[in-house]
Formats: sequence, structure tokens, C-alpha cells
Amino acid sequence: MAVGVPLEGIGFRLRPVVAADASFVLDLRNNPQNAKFLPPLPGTVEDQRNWIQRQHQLPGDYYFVVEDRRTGLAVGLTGLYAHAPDSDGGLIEWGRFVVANKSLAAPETSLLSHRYAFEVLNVREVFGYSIEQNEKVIGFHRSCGLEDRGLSSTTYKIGDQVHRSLCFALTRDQWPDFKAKLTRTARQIVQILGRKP
Amino acid sequence: MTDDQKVKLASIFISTFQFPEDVILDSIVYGEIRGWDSLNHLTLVSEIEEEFGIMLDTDDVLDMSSFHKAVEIVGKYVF
Repeated sequence: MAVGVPLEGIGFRLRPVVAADASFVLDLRNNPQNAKFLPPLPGTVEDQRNWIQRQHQLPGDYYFVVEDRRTGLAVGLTGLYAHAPDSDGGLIEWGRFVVANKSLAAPETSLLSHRYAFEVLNVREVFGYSIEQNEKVIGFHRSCGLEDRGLSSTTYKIGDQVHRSLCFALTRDQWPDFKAKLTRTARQIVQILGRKP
Repeated sequence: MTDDQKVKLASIFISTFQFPEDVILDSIVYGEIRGWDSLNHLTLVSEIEEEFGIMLDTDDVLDMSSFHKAVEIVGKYVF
């Protein structure tokens, strides 16, 4: 069982997904503006609620709602899963990453997801996949400083189409620079979001 | 917004996102092109604020989702 613990950031926080988030998860994941290149979630709110309850029982699987600390509103989702521990912390996959359009939550969501992996779970490497055509997310990962490992053998089916994916990763050695860069960005975003209209 | 100010804004977009000079800026929309993500959005905002000597409100920062919208928003701050 791996429900996870909350993690406070600068402008945003991660908290474990609960069954009551089922409707938010479905709305966010199935909104094409937010999740154009994520496989849509089938089923009803009840199905999603049941899935979340099953997810709580999965070992090495952490699923979070991203909340804006200023407003308390949920603005995104992120997950760490398929943890393969070894004597040096092992590897974990980062995914289920989606934030509401215009929320400016993406940089700190990436920062907090990696912070959870490296500083809470003490893994030695985080990796993830992005669909090859998802230029927005691929550009974002590269700008943040994730290592682009090129085309992977992992494919995703969305509708009738099978998409190839690129693998991105961050190692424990790369984490301090990544953290410093995205912490500066997160502070800049908080300053912008705190401006008076 | 004057034509000179529009040209200045266009040059900020071109340099921030490293577009070719002949890019059709009216077709540029946040999140739909490589390069215009939340990180580069912050760079764009900071360049606009510095070049025009203005400070955008939070809602305007979040609403600036295309070049056309940027013209409209920046136009509220400059005379």
C-alpha cells in the first residue's frame, strides 16, 4: 500500500488523491485542452472512485492532486509508480502529469514530483515517457532540464492510433541543478500569481 | 497600440520563441507550438514588462494565450 504523504511547495502542494477526487480526475483527464495526448479515462465517476481505491493498495504507486496553495483549488494531477527498489533506491516512473491550462502549475508540479521521488522515496532515478507528437510537453521537459533519452519502445494507444514515445529521465546527480532551476521558476510564478488585479 | 509598438511586441515573440522572421504570428497559440510552454511564458512576460516598462496583472499574464491576445493586453498598458 502506497498512499503517499502531502508535500508542500512554494506556490503549490501535492496531496494524495482520494476517492472524492474522482470527478475532478475525470474532468481534467478528459478535457482535450488539458490532456490532448493522454489516453482518455473511460467509465463513470463511480468507476474512477473504485480505481482510486484500488490504486491505494498498489505497492510503489503514488498518485497526487496538485493544489494551488493560495486558493486551495485543485489544478492538476501527477503520479509516481512502478517503483523498482534496489539497494541504492531504485527507479520510479513519473506520469499521469496533467495540469489545468493557464494555471502555471506545470513547473512546480514537475519540481514537486521529482522532490518526492528523490527526497521522500530516495530513488536514484526518475524516468517517464511523452508521446512523440506532444511537442508542448517534450519542449517543457527539455526546458526544465530533464535528460532526453530518445525514442523508447513504449507505445500508447489513443483512439485508433498507436503513438511512439520519447523517454525522459533525471538521475540523483542531476537533481540538485534541476531543483535549483525550477525553484527559481516557482518563486517567479508565485510572484506573478500574487499580483493584484 | 501603435504599429511601432506592435512591431516591438512581435520582435519579443520572435526572439523569445526563436521563430523565423517570416513567422505568421497570428497563428501562434499558447501550448500548441513547441517552445511556448509555462517556462517560456514567464520569459515572454518578463521581456514584455522590461521592454514596455509595464507590470502586467496576474489575470493578464494568464490570459495572454496568443499574439493577438498579447496585442490586446499590452495595448491596455501602453499609450
